[in-house]
Amino acid sequence: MLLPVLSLLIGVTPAPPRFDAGGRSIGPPLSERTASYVLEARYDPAKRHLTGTARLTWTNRSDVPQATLWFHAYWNAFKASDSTFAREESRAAGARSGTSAYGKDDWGWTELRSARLPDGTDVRPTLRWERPDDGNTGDQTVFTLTLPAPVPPHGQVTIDLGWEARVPKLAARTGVQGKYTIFGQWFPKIGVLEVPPQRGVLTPSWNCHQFHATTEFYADFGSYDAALTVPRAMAVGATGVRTGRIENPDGTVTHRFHQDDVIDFAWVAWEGAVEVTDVFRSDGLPEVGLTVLVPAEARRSAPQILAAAKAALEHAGRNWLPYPYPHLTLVGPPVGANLESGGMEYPTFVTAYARTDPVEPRDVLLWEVTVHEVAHNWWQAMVASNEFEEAWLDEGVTTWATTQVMNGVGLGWDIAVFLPGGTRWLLDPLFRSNLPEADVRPVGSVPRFASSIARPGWRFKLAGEVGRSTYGRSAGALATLQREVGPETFARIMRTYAERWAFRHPSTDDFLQVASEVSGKDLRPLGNALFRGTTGLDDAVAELRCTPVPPVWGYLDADGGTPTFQPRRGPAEGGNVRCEVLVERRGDLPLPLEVQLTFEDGTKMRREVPPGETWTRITTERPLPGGRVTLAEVHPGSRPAMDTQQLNDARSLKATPGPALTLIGWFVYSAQLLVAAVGSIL
Amino acid sequence: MSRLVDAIAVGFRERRTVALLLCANLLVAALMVAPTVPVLSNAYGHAPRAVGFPVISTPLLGSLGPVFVNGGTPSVLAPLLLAVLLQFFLVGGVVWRVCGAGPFRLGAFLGQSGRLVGRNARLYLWLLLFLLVAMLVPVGLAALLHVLGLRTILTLPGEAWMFGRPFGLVSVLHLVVLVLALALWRLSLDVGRVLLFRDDLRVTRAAAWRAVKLVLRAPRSVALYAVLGGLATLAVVLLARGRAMLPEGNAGLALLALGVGQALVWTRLAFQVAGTRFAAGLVESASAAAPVEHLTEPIPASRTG
Repeated sequence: MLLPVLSLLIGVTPAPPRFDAGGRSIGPPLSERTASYVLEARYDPAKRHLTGTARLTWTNRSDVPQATLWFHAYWNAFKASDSTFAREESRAAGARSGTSAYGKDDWGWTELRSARLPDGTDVRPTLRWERPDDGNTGDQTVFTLTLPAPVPPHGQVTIDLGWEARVPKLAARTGVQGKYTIFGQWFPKIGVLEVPPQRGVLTPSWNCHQFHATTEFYADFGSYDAALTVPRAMAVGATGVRTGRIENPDGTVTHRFHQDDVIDFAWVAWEGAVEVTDVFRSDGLPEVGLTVLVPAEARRSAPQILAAAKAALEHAGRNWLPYPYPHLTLVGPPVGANLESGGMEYPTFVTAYARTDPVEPRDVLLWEVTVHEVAHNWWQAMVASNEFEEAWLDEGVTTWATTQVMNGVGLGWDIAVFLPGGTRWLLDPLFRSNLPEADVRPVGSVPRFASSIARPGWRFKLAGEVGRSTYGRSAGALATLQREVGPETFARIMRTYAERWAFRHPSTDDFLQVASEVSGKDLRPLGNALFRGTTGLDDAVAELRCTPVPPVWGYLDADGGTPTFQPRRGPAEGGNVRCEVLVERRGDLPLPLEVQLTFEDGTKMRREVPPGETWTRITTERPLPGGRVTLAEVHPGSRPAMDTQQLNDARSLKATPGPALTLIGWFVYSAQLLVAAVGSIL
Repeated sequence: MSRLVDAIAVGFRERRTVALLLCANLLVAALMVAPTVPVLSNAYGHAPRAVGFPVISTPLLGSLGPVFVNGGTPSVLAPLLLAVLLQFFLVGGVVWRVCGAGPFRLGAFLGQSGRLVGRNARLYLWLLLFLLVAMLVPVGLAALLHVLGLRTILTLPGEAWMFGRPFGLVSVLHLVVLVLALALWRLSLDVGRVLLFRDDLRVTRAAAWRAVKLVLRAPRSVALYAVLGGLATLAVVLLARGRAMLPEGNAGLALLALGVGQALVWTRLAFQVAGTRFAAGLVESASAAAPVEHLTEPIPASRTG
């Protein structure tokens, strides 16, 4: 009754909800709910100790009995320096320092204490550590349990898992930093039994990878019910809807949360956090309760985080799929925890950034990260791809999606946003800029990459290639597909992909299948080249030169008679001019290549470069005046996003001294400032 | 305060001195940038899609990586070494100018520069030791405050610069101490140079020690010298803001920006001359006060150090 009245008052008619106020689905389940958990956890921040129980109900979706179940024990990535995570991390430097910066008290671990079946049998003694990816015996992030009787095809098993853990120092989106603790990948989590034809598997097989430094996660959908007990002073935010809060006599509080049809559950416990709430309302879209947790000193970030989240919910709801869950929690971590734990996505729970002095009215750093993480609720949390093996399906698609939302709200990047608070009033004009969102994560600068995009995150040849391929290059690949089919068709592709694969596990093939089907074009060859190949693209006009054609000289036939000698003469007034244009294709991406020549008299000429050619030379000969080619361009309409260098796409006959002088002048100016600065300390 | 005003007036009046310093500055900068000129001209000389963009834009800034992939990046170390040598050389002439010399003559300027270059370099090395001592104060204070749970710019976590508020009351007060320590050292250097010139001292260690003593006895001058540095920084930032607000995109605007850049560097160099003049004023006032006989006592040339 309240909702319709409220709607009348504010003039918005929301869509009917898919879940009730307790996070339980209304009507049929949205997902298969293969793995559901009832979690109970007690956190002692003084000892950095966590004890927990999890009642796991798992369904064997296959036609084959399953006696051995695979689990993740992610936190053992932070157990010692010989874990696969720590080894990989020490080899690759990044924004997150992770275990590389650990001291002696910083390591953490998780230990399964019991695994009881309903009849009381404890299968904990059957635990066996597995290293499916690298055979590293120092790694304890994957284990198996063997049941006395297999789970029959399409049957269910319930296991009561008991575990305890030492919370690591904050690293890679989980752990403790001062009075702030974030719990991601924190409970013994069952792997995914992939069943044909899911993601191309031929037989039922477990997909349960070790925790790598460069990968994220993969899980089945289920219902999560959690009771989290923490000291009274701590605020708690978590996946799902808050369903209860009980004060305990020992000075702790138990917070209860529930959410159906999600793939994971994460939470934060934080003393000193400020909680700000709001509601997203938009015509025809379900209402979403919003909660933001930020440090008190960064309270001013909360309205911007909320505004960015609403913009993402609006865009995504209109273009991909309405956000079905009743709640979304956003965390802006405290100073010192932003780079390690900000910018992470979990279902209905994301971490963004929080700044003490955000740029007003819109801080692009806060907006971009919030939009990106909220967009992940579609691309991975609902359309639940395998982040271990095909990270582009979440990060690449989300990067593309972020660009869509940021373009929609008209927000580009201003480098001045990185200036420390308190200096912007003076230094802001020195760095003011407006870089488009699509350009801040470039596809790369080589026409051939070392590794393909669609591959496990730990199997990239170059460490620096993982992020670039997964984010910018993948987004560029999607934009290239978009250019092939047009923006309207591509929008239909993404909507259909979201609708068809929400609450399921798609692969690269599944995406390309949808894209081909919706567009009516077989996009698989191009898609495979983009995502499974290493080829890039750099189409360039390498040369443009025009020379007047001198009159022919030598022995010429005169009136059909005896050849007579014509001496060499200079080009005549009104004679012809010959122009040569050299077009190069660096990279083998199978895209058509069109060249446009613009002549001095304004006429234009277009020419297709034959497929497979790595270069072509176009020669024209026209009378002067007006016959000179003044401009040669490749891709005259729109440039493919995968074309790694845009400046060489066009070459003019006339010199363009402006850009070179601008840059040289800027270099000279910078050098002079450097020399002057050195002079001031000498 | 009048010494400060006088110093700034001298700094901006010494046009030929500043012009000479600017030429040296520009020479070093040109040497740094020279390797980039053919590369940038080749890449952007016939690139219509780069026309009209400012430096901080994707078509220009974003394209620099591929442009320099085969080399041609600015050369930094060798020109900087030259800048150091030039600085040690020219500073002798600057001291000569601010110590009340007559009209500017290039030959005399270079002659004084050559005469003092070795001693100025040695003096600098001696005073580097004093820099270490002077820095103990702000570093020690930062450590003490850190133990007390108070953050300074030396102990702030990296994230605080981007996400927090690095400039609170404590960190600003500490920053003032840091600036004063630097001013103490830098003024000692200028005073030492003036002493070397004025009294023709040969033992640079003794000159350094006298300079430090003189500066330590003049805390007000240290504060004023720090103010002078602050004014120089403010002037540079304001001019840099003005330059940054100029439109960019064509050759004419690029030349205009370069011109404004010269005005900025000119201002910085004028303040540098003003700093030396300020030191000379301090030495003069100390000489006028009694007893200052040690300031003028010549050191036997045989005792070089």
